[in-house]
Amino acid sequence: MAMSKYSDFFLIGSPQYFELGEKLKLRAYGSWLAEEVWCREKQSKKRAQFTLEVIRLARKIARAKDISEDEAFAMLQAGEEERGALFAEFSEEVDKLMAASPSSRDQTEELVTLFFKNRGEVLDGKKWLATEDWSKEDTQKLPSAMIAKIEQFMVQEDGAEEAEGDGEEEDGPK
Amino acid sequence: MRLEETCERTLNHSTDWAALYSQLVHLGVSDPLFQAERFHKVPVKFLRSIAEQLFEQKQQGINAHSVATAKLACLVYGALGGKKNSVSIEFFLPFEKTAKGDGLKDSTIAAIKWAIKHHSLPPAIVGMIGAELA
Repeated sequence: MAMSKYSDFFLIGSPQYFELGEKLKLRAYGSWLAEEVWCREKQSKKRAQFTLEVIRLARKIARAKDISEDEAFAMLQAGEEERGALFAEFSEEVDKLMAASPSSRDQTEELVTLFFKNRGEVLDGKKWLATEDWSKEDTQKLPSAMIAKIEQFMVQEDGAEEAEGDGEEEDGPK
Repeated sequence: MRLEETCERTLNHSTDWAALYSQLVHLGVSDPLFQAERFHKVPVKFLRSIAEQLFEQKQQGINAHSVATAKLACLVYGALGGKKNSVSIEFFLPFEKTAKGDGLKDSTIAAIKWAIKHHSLPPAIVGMIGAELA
């Protein structure tokens, strides 16, 4: 793509990279890209929606069992065995809800895949090639240490945005 | 529950991408970098910075176009209210001056003062800009 009037605001000079070993690197922009933020917001909404569903069910159980909402909420997040006996009559509803629980791992994989699509480069011989066609399967083959490194890079890239202070991560059930 | 409020906030307060995009288009961004098909690949920090800068520039542009009317308003205000009732031209401008664009440069003021001192400017102009040099 030809250079545009504004490109040099962030494209000027040598691009910065986050090295992921000898043959893999991610382009650093000092910010998340719009698509990445959009994806993260979509994930946050999904988690928030799920948490609200859990709260709604906890209220229903609390009323039926004459226990506090907090207690019911904590029990819902406990293991299947622990909650099984107490919530026998709600088991179908509980199981259905828990099955729809957004997986933290899936969400991380989705973001990592997007980062590689947008920023990744791989060394092919002597040439660095963009990994625009990076897939979720490619992400799943990455070692966990590398995923942790990429998450660290995500936080680093998000640094400036976070400092501006929206930080509205909900602490809902995982 | 506090958690419930946090979740509601997350659901109701996310970036309004359509608004940000239309704001940039409205502010006159026509660069290929910001076209719809590229928009999602632009760093958010950069998008916000550009939107802020363009908004500021637009305000300054509107102010610049309103200076003549504001000066006339100053004259009318002075004429009707008497000498004691002086008001700054900024009072009649649509937008407040930003902290950064702090008026005329010292060198410009020095040049205008020199021109006034040497009677190089028509008295009507001197009357209009005098308050800003004070």
